[in-house]
Order: sequence, then structure tokens, then C-alpha cells
Amino acid sequence: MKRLLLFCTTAALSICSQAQDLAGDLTLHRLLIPGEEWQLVVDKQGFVDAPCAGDDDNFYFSDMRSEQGIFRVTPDGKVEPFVKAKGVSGMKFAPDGRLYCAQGGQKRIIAIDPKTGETSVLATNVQPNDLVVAKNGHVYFTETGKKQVTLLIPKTGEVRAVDIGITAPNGITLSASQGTLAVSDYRGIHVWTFRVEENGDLSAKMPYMTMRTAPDTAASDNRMRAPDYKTASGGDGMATDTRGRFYVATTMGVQVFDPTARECGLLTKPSDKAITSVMLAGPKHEFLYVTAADKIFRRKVQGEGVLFFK
Amino acid sequence: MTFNFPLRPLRSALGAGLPPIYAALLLGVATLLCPTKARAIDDYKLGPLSMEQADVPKGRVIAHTNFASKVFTNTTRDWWVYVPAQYDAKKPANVMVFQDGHDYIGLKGAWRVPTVFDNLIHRGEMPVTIGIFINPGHQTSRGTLTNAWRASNRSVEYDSLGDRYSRFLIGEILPVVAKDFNLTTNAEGRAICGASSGGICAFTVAWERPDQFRKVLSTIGSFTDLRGGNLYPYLIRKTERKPLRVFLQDGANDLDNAFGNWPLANQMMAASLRYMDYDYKFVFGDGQHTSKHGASIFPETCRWLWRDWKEKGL
Repeated sequence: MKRLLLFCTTAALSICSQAQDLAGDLTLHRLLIPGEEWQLVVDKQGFVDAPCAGDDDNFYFSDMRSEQGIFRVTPDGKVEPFVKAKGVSGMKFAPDGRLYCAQGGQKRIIAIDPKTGETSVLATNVQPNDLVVAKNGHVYFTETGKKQVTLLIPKTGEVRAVDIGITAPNGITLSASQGTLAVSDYRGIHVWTFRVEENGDLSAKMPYMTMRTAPDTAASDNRMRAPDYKTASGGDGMATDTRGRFYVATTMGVQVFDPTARECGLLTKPSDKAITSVMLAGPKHEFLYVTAADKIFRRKVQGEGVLFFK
Repeated sequence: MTFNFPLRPLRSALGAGLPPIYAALLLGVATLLCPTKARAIDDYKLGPLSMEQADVPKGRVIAHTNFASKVFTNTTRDWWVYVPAQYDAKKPANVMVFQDGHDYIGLKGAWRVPTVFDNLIHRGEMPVTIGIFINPGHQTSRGTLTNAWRASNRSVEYDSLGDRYSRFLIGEILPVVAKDFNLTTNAEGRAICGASSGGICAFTVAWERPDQFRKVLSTIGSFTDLRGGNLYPYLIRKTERKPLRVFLQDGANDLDNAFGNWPLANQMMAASLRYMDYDYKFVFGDGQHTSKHGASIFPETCRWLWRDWKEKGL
């Protein structure tokens, strides 16, 4: 009887091993859904980027090599032209209902009214890579080449550097509460965070999340010890969910962190192509989308994207 | 199925909280009451499936020497290819790669893989599979190698994390074999095996390249801190499950040294694979750092690794 009991306990434990996860642990078991793998949703584009969620069930993206520029994917999977804007590498809907777009090639940030298609220029002489728009209308964008994070206040037209020094600031997002700004370093291993002040300034800068990189087999050659790891994460586009998790597209895959910067885990890339960005969008904003060269993949997760304009 | 033996079973089970004299008495009584003779540790023997059978067709073994690698420059190594009698050039054959190939290839050696494959393929218990047996590299500057276990580049190639060994295997060795034989490109039909450092090497190849290898057999695997491999149990828990089938074997009397404790490391690996719901099997015996246990259960292990080969059309 004792043996039987022991066997049953062992069996039960092995079936639901993750049941021992602590309540606060946002493990992969609390993110991934068994059987929900990456699915191809957009194919044969030029080069896709700027994945974006709206206040609806559609998913929006940019094809940087097409004349049309911005497309949307409807819940039933149809890819439709949305608004025209060439070479957009990052975009978000703003509280004013317009779509704010980073057009690095034209050194500007524009706003497009989705109803009329009317385009306004919000900032010029900038080199935006990616952007995020807060509920108060403040726009933060990365100027990767200038190692700079820049603030744009559309109401006043003010544009100013709010951080200089991250090696290659690339992806950018806010925390679920919008009290923290997070910026991924493409050529480093950290996602840096800042406190967002009311006037738009950034303070309390720190290398908050540490991204995983692959062993650097060239550098680690012949020593009897653990390898050196690559120092460039390829940290790119970012997303945030309502539980406060951060998602970063990196060379190794999508890396997910909990609100306290602990690693939740690494999701495998859907193909051997580099992924440039990640976003929670689609029905209930519960689908994780990644952009990978000419393709977009998505998978359902146990996480709901935050819409910062709401 | 997981077997959890404490490292020193008798001392911890009987000695806990008892004065030594009582513990010794207890042990004596237990020995007297025990109906069978006490078994020596690591006492594992090869079974009939590891022996040549008269009515079973035999595959052939092709020996290669002096492989010059571009990934591991200035090294040389011997290697072998086993081709089963049932091989048909019109059908892609499955592949199983063995590290420390010299230990597996011999018909009178520890593992006798060609004989086991002959028997299992003949019985339909594993599919037609070409075996590739690779020795670790030896630096040409170090002169002639007299003992294959002492190959100078072994630890660099096997214990290192990362994709370097898989680049050598997939980019250099497999294309040479594929020139002469029709090899499957289906990762489900490609297995990789090794013992000790060869065991962690096999796991690393599949971990890095699940698109190329999805079946892993590790015995007495060195998931310890020789070159950072002790990290795997933690990486597994924080990495989306890869589509791998993993067999692990170790023994309670395996190594315990400055680099780590092999029995504990393998139990950690098994626990992590369980935590992430991998398709895995862990056999834990009382062996030492030898291949006796691994080789004795090798036919059974192959059956387990290839158990659904017919349904999968391998």
C-alpha cells in the first residue's frame, strides 16, 4: 500500500511538475499553450517590420520595401492595404487615434489619420528606428546610430534627447503601468529601463534585464572553463503584456522577462531568419506576432498585450 | 520512469541517527535475511541482442582515416561508416552518429553497435539506419596517437557549449557520407549518441540543431562544469521545449570530482526534461564511469528511441 501510494505521488508529481511553480513565477508554463506553435500568417512580402496592435482584432505591419507600406491582417487572416507610408520601421497608435510612424529613411516621424489617410509630419531631422507612444501623447523613439533615446511632445512640437549612451538602442516599450520605459540594446546584452518623469524626462537608468546570447565559439577556444558568450544580443523590437511581462526579439529568439526582470524564458524562432520585432495583437491581443524577413508568424499565448493609448 | 537512489544507499538508509554499532548490526541482520547474494556494483552484462546471430544478415563497416577538418583545424581523426545489409539506395536511410566511434564500432568491444543494429533491423525493431562512428580529433602537432581516448582535442570538441561541433558534423562529416549513401534529411530519422563527454556532445548537437537531430542517447553524460555544461538543467527549464527525444543513463557510483557530481548532474537533467514535458527516459543504476550499464541496455534503448519508426515512416 505504501509503495502504491508512493508510486501514485510520484506519478502525480511528474504529470503536473509545473504545479510546483510559485504563485509569482511567470514561467514558460504560464505563457505557452501546449499545441499552439508558430503559424505562418503573412508570406512573400519584401521586408516586414513595425508590428502593431490597434483597438480592434486586426494586426498591423509595415513592408519596408513596398510602395503601399502599411498593411493589416484581419482576424480571418486576410492581408489588406491599410494606409500608405514607405519605409516605416516602427509604429504605434496614439491617443489621438492616429498612427505614429518612424520613417528613418526620410529622417522624420509622421502621423497618419486612418480614416482620411491624411499624413502630418511630427518631427524632422531625426533618425528614428522604433517608437512607443504613451497615454499622455509623449512619443519616445530610438535613434540607434546616435546612441540616443529621444522624446517628442506632439502638442508643442518639442524634440529632445532624453538618454545618450546605450550602444545601439533599438526596441522600445513601456511597462504595463507606463511608469517605466524599456529600451533594448542591439549590440549589448541588456534591456535598459528608466523611470518616466511627468515632464517626459527619463531617470533611474539601469541595465535591468539581461538577454541570453549564444556561446562565442571563436573566442572560447581552448580553455578548460565555461565559454565566453557573445556580447551582442541582437535585441530588437519589444512588447508588453498586462501582467507586466516584457518581450524582446533577439538573435536567439523571443526572450521574455517578468516585471522584476527575471527571465521567464526563451521562445524558439519560427524560422532560421532573424526576427526584427514582436507584438501582442489580433483577437483579444492574445497572439504573439514576430516579423522575420519576408514573413510574419504568430502563436496564441497566455498573455494579453497592453495598448498604451488606452 | 525515474529511479532515485541516494548516492550511498546503505549508509544513508541504515546509518541515519543510529550509533555505528547498531547500524553495523542492522546491516548484518539485513545481509543474513537477504535471500540472494549481494550483487557487485556496475555488474552489467551484454545480452543476446549484442551477440552475433547465425541467421541474421550482417552489414558492412567502412573505415576512414585521417579526416582533415576545417572547423577543428590541424586535427586528424579516424572514423567509420556502418551500412546495414537491408540498405536500399533508393530509400533514404536513417542515421545514428556515435562520438568516440572507436568504442562502439568493434564487434568484440564494449558496445558492438554493428551487431546490435544487425539484430534489431532484422527483427524490425529499428529502421534501416546507417551508423557513423567518429573519433575525437587529435592535433597533428602532437604526434601519433596510440590510444584513441587520449585524442588531444576531445574535451574541446565534446565538452564545449555552442554550435561548433554541430558545424563540423553537419557541415563536414555528413556531406562526405551523403556522397556515397542516401541519408535521410528528416531530423526525426537522425539520432546522436555518446558516453561521458561524448554524451553531452550528443545532447549539444541536438540542442543547437533540432532541425537536424531529434534523437539523443547519452550515457554517463558529463553535464558538469568541464566547460560550462552544468548550465543545461537550467537552460532547459527556461527554453521553449525543443522537439527532442532524449535517453539518459547514469549510475549512482559515477564520478564525483572537482568538475561536479555526475549522478546528481544526470538526475538534474532528467528532472529538467520532466519539468518541460520532454519525451525522455532516464535509467539510473549503480554503475561507475563505464559503459557497462549503457552497453548492456543498448538494444532496449534503441527500441525505445526508434519505437514509432513504422508509424512515422522512418
